[in-house]
Amino acid sequence: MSSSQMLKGILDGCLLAIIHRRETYGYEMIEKLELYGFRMVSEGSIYPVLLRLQKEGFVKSVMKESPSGPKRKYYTLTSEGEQEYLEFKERWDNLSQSVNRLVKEEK
Amino acid sequence: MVLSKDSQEFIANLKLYLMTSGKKDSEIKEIAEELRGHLEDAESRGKNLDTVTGGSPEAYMKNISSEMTTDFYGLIKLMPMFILLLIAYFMTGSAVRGDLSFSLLKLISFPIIGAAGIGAYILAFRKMASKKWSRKKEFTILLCIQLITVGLLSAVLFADIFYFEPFYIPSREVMWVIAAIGVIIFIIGAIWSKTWITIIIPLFLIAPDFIMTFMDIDETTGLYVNMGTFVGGFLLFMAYLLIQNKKQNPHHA
Repeated sequence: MSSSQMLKGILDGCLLAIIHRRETYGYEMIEKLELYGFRMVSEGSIYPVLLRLQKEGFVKSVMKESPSGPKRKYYTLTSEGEQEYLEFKERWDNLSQSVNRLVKEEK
Repeated sequence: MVLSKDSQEFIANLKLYLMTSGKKDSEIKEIAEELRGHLEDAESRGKNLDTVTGGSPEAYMKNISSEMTTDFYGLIKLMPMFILLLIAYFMTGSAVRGDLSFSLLKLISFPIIGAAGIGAYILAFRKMASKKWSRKKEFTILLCIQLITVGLLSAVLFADIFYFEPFYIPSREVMWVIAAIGVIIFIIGAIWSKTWITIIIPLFLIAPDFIMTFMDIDETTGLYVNMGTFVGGFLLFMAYLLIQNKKQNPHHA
């Protein structure tokens, strides 16, 4: 299984985590993801996820003119989104602990 | 910041793909604008379209489309006007010529052929948006659909003349009323769709007939004039599509 396939299931949560920090737009999210070492996602793949998050009511967005660059769509978490983020964190903690325990035991 | 030609084409194709997939206009505009912004940011940092789409625009468009809700209600709202226009296209010309008649064959086959033709066009445009076909191939496909539709309609008309008895032939006065209603529908259609296309095409199809009813012209000349304006109208329609496409890609040479 490639890392981009593994990432598919948790990209939603990662984006929630990034938007949780502060209001941000797509290109900035990609830069943040790269900063944290996610190089396996194609840049565009965040937009279908953002569409889904918005449809599920976890994020809301607003178009803003930027002084220099193009028009940008800024995202913030809704209260449901904050809740979902907390649940994601918990699920991820459990999952990563279990996987780590399993993988390390095998060494 | 001007986007590269590839990226502009991608945005225009994405819009077309989503439109022919029945997505909401406002949502299409939003995602297109968002991606345009992203591409501008990406290109100003030396990246290209592939880093955004992951190398397959087709797969990417499908992916975006699958996360957008299909606007069935919006599609249903379009239907009555669409059907009215279709009926007007079929009847107005004949009503002007004075050979309008209603037979069972026409009543059944015209709506089916009309709907199938429109369906084929929508499907073709959708495919064209996501596949990288040459202009020549695109043009050939559209021409084929047009020819098949016209061929089928002609076959029906032919069969109708020889094998079917019309159950109703309106009087000349009633035909003029029908023609007038048809023209009104075209005008309403133009206002409603905010394009001239529903007036220009019928104008090409019907105006020659209208003029010729007041002149003494033999039938073969009439037929040639009809064929000429029909081909002319088709070319005009193609030119219109090209211009629309250029408008969406202002920098696309």
